[in-house]
Amino acid sequence: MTDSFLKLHTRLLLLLGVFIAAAICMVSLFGSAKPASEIDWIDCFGEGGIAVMTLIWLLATLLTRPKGKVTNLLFLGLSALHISLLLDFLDEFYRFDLEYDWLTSLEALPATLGMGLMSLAMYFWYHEQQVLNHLLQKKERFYREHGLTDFITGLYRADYMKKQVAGELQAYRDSGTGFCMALLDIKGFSEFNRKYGGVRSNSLLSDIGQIITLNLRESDLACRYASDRFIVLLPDTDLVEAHAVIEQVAQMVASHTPYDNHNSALGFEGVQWQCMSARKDDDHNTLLQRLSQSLNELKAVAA
Amino acid sequence: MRQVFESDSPILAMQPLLLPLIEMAEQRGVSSHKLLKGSRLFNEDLHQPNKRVSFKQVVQIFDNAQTLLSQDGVSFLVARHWLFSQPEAAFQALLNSRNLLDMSRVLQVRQAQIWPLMFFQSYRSANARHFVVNPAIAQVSAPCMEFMAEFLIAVIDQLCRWRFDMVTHLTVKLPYAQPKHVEQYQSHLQLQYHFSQPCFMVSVPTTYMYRPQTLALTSMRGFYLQQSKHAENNVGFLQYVCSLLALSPKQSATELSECLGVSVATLKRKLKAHNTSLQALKDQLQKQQAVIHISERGCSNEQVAQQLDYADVTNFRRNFKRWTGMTPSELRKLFN
Repeated sequence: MTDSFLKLHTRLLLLLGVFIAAAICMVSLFGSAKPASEIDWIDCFGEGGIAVMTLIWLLATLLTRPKGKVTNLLFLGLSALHISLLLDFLDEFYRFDLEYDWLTSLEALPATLGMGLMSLAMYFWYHEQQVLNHLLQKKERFYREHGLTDFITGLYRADYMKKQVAGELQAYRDSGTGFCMALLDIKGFSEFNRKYGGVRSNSLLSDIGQIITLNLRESDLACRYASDRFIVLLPDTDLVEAHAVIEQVAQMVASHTPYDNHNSALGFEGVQWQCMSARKDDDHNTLLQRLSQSLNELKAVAA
Repeated sequence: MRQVFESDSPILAMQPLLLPLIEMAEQRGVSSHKLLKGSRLFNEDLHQPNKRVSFKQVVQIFDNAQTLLSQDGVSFLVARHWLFSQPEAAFQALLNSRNLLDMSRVLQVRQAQIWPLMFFQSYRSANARHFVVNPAIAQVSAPCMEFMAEFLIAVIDQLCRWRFDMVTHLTVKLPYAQPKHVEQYQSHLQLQYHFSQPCFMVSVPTTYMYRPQTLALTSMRGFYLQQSKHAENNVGFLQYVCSLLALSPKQSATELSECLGVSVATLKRKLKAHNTSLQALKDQLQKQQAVIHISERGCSNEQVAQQLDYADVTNFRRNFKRWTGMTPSELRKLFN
């Protein structure tokens, strides 16, 4: 993934190369080298270090971000900052000839400009984050911990849900606001897996994860549970209401048509689900176990 | 003559398990480099068809897999893949056995080719069969044990669903506490499972041992057994020592070393290199027998002490507590 991001930025990398080359050319054209005795090596090390660090930040930014306005602004800001620091570093080895001495005073100018650009970038970044937060709405509640996400579906994993359920149970005992949990299981997933292979099954899981989150209310939370199971937390909801919500989700999932590479539809039947309300004496383990157990019983009857 | 192999002998052909494991890890953002770390193996090594690995290397990889990927349930997923892609003739003999009892016999003679990492000892009680499972080559770390156990029970679960349609009647007892990723057990398994048990044991009601395997062609069973007759039939170090101990449980280090054709010092060194000692293995055997007597056969302490050749009951109770961390009556309560 990161690999392809860097490939997107060949132009920007080229531009960076030009900037750096220009700075070096300028210094070597208009200046002359200092004798070795005049060079302060400790200062060189310090200033060189800052210049290298900004270059690393710059590359990290390009590695981790797709193309776009925010990326461009971050790039330009960091590049300008880097040029300033580079000039400062080269200063240790070169002295500008007398008629170009005014160049020394311009050294800090790119950095000022760069910091201005980066501030602007931060502002747009904030907006971008707002948009992403909105997309994540039904996938997370109050708390962000990227280590707990499931790689295949992009949803949070069971561990995240357990923390949320523990919190909800505490709130239920304290304030009496009940909630419901639902567990959804893809029908015939192991046959699907055997028939179409792991990659296609993974993308089916990811699709279904998306459909579930799309069809939940804003307050609900969906996570990947394990294997072909998804789990949903419906806060401040009674069982009748929860049934209605999950029934709607199940209908939407059932109407999903997965396609293979040649665009023909693959057989897929939808989900089985079980929904129950929490009890005050539950802890998150017993609640999830009870839910899992009753889904297993339902499956056994259906089979 | 069966060849005994040790934990550092490069003898295991594990590609049918390791290659899918690597691929699944990569699909979940864990590079092969990370998964194979410390095993001195590279992904490319495993693509050589004749590459053999040692048990030590396998343990390292299972350790890594359990640390990095237990939340993703890869042990269960790999098991499913492995079960449905077994090319071995020995495995085909298994799929054409008449029933589970027959299967257990085929497994007994072809275990080296099917699943050389663990072995089982079978016990009978009034209305069930119990298979106590232990590592066959060396004692292993806790994460590795968890990985191997998850893999094995997932295979058993899938196999019984596929061939017998009676998986819910199977019970598995696991020798470790409920792991954090228990949702994987809930979602992948239909058999009954219990954590924090004294031994790793699979129990099947006797009636189901005789339920015919619906998809089997029993005439093919003999054919595939013949086919797999000349394949390698090596036995793991621990399994071999345990089989000698089972024959005469009280034997001394000197007697055992004579059976193995090595000196007493070498035997001790080897046992230590396999993370165990003679006393530990004797304890393990007595523990599992005692557990079967108490929890499955409903014997009294006096009866068990007598069966295990103890002079007095107090002594037996003290040892039992040392082996399992609980008294015999506490174990009885656990099951009632």
